Amino acid sequence: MSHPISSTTSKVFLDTCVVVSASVYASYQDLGVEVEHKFYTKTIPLFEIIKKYVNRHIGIITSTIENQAIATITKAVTDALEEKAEEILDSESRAKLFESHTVFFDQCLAHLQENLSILQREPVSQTDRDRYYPDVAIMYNNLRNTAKNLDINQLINANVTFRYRQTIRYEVYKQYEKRYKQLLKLKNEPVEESDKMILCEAICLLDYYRKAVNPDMRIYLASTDYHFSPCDSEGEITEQIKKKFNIICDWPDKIATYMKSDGFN
Amino acid sequence: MSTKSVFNYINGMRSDLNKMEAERFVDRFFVAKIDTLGLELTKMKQYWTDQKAVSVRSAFIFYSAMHNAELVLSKMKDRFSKAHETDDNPGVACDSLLVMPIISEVFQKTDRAAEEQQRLSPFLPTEMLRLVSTLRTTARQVNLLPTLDEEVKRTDKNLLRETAVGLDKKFVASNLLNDI
Repeated sequence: MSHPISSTTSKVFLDTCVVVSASVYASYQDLGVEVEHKFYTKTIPLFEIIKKYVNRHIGIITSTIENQAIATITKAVTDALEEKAEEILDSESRAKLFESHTVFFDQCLAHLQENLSILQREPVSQTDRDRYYPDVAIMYNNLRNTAKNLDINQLINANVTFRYRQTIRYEVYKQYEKRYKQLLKLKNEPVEESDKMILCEAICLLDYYRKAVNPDMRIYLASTDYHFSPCDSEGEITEQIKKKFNIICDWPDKIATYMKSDGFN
Repeated sequence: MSTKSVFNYINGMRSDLNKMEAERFVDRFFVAKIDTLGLELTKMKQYWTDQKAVSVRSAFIFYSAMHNAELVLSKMKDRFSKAHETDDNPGVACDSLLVMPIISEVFQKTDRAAEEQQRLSPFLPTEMLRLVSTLRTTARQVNLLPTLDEEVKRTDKNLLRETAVGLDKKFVASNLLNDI
């Protein structure tokens, strides 16, 4: 079945954090101040590709992502305002404080709007999304159990001979820590429900595209969240998501290189 | 001016603009009406900065809405003042007609929020954000939104610098998504 829009074989589903990172920047040259989200530069190459191929609709989001992005930016700015507003009681100073925050807030929302305008918003029904929830929840539960049982000292004892254990323990420990960074993070910070929903939506979209557009369709999930993307080079969560659901998760700059390999130069 | 009077005033301004568009003649005295409406928006802004009955977040969203409506009016005033010299006749009237209904709705919703206060609908701030976004996009398209430089000029520079530095630290240091 051919698709009326394009026969593109790769799409990128953007996580909220990526949309937010790409929108939070402001430069006040007169003041010599620049504000930039810590991952802003990592999003640039991906947005360049999406913009270049805007008619191919390769960058996709859902209303969940859009609403979360607006809420995140609003919360960040108003939290900062709240901290200061509590200390200031006189009317004039409060007014100035509100004004200085709104200048920045308006700019970020304008950037967000601009970014959203080049992304395709796809509908995902709650029924479809909920269909995948049990599988996604089970995967994260299993990974969390694995993380809970992960004992680096035990791994060292099992894999390093007694003779060398004490002398190289620190180095080996660091290596294992790096190797299992994603799991160790999962152990400390469990995945949030909103993240599970986003993964469910990505799966729904892949299912839809494969049925309606191209059976070989690939979906990348661009995210700066370790619950999806690898912390360094490897990641059990990322691997499991790919194995179970065929969704390829990675950082936005990495996804940009994958897209280039897929012909979006 | 009562809230009802403000709505009537905005409706009157819309009628004036329709007339100007039809007659292809821009009335300079319209600037005084923009000033009067601007004063009402400033009062509403002040109400939200002083408001303690609602969260700072909600107050800020409605403040920001009034601020944006005020920005659009300032640009409108600027263009009306120079309309005859810049051959903006009746262009500015036609452009203003596009944004006035949105300004009216922004004011209406902000006024409703002021009435509701603690009973404030949780959806109203989000609705307002979308409406302000529509206002800014429309105003930008018809050259009724000041540029960033113009906007920054109106702001306390020291405080803006301080705010920007503070927010930069926040955006660099935190993983915002974990805080939603």
